[in-house]
Amino acid sequence: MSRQNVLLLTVFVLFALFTAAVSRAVFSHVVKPGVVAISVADYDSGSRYAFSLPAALVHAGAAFAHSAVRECDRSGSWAAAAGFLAALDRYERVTLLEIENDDALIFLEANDGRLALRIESVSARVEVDLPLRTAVRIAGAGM
Amino acid sequence: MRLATLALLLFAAGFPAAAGAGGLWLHVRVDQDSGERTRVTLNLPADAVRAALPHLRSFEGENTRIHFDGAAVSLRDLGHVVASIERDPSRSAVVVRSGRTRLEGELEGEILLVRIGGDCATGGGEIRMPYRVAAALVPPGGSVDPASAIREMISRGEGDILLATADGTTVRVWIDRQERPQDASRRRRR
Repeated sequence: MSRQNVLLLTVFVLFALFTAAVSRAVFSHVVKPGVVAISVADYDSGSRYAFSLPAALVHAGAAFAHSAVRECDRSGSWAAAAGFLAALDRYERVTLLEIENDDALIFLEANDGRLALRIESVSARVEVDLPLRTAVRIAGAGM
Repeated sequence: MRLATLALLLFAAGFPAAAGAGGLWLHVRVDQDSGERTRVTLNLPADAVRAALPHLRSFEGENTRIHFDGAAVSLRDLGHVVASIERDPSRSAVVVRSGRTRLEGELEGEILLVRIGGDCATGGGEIRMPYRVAAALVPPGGSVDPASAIREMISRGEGDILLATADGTTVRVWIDRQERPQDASRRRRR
């Protein structure tokens, strides 16, 4: 590898580390540990599980998402999403999105101050929800 | 899912603050029945979407396409159709060719009917929407202005806005005062 390539690689790695650090700092601020709740109900076995995502996992995922979405946002849609989600706070319950096929139902709902994604199939139900205000902050940080 | 492109475009557009749209809901429905049946429904309260409007920007539409079930419409080409009709509204039909796609635009009263023709690789279909909505969406100059398009939509009040069909796929956009469509899924919450 030539000296020039080594220099370019070093600059690239430093830039990547810098970007990751900034993104992580942003999401460490807006995403509090344990706010993302997940529950799984297995109808076949009758088992139910509920847990919160570890903070480190949330931060790592959010940092990746943050750097990715910034590249995609040229039309202001993240800022618009933040405004939209913030305004949902006044609604008790809104079913924003429904996807239905032969195998499963997927719902995105704003319900009593929380934003919930529910996946219901014949054998199981999975729910992921987080406070609406956290969703607003995430969208806002993606601007 | 490519079908969601149109829905997301409309989702990103928002409602106008001056519309006085209390109690109105924007619905987007995509039905796909090619092999596996899939239905996607968006139910968006006007008041909430209205809050998004100030943040939206128009953008260049050169590489922006609406895809549904194999058919693809370039918004730049749609802009050419609208501009041609704008120049001469008495024309019976406007044809725009781009690559493998052929767009044919025609006015039916205030409704713009766009037929999408293509080869077997690109598929075909048709879109119906108010001409003024299309003109607001793709203003002269090649940009795309979804916020203006929705502003025009909401000014029309309750009713159908857009109907797009292709092989096995239907996209419908409408405004009413119902939180969820009456035929919304009942299969929920065990």
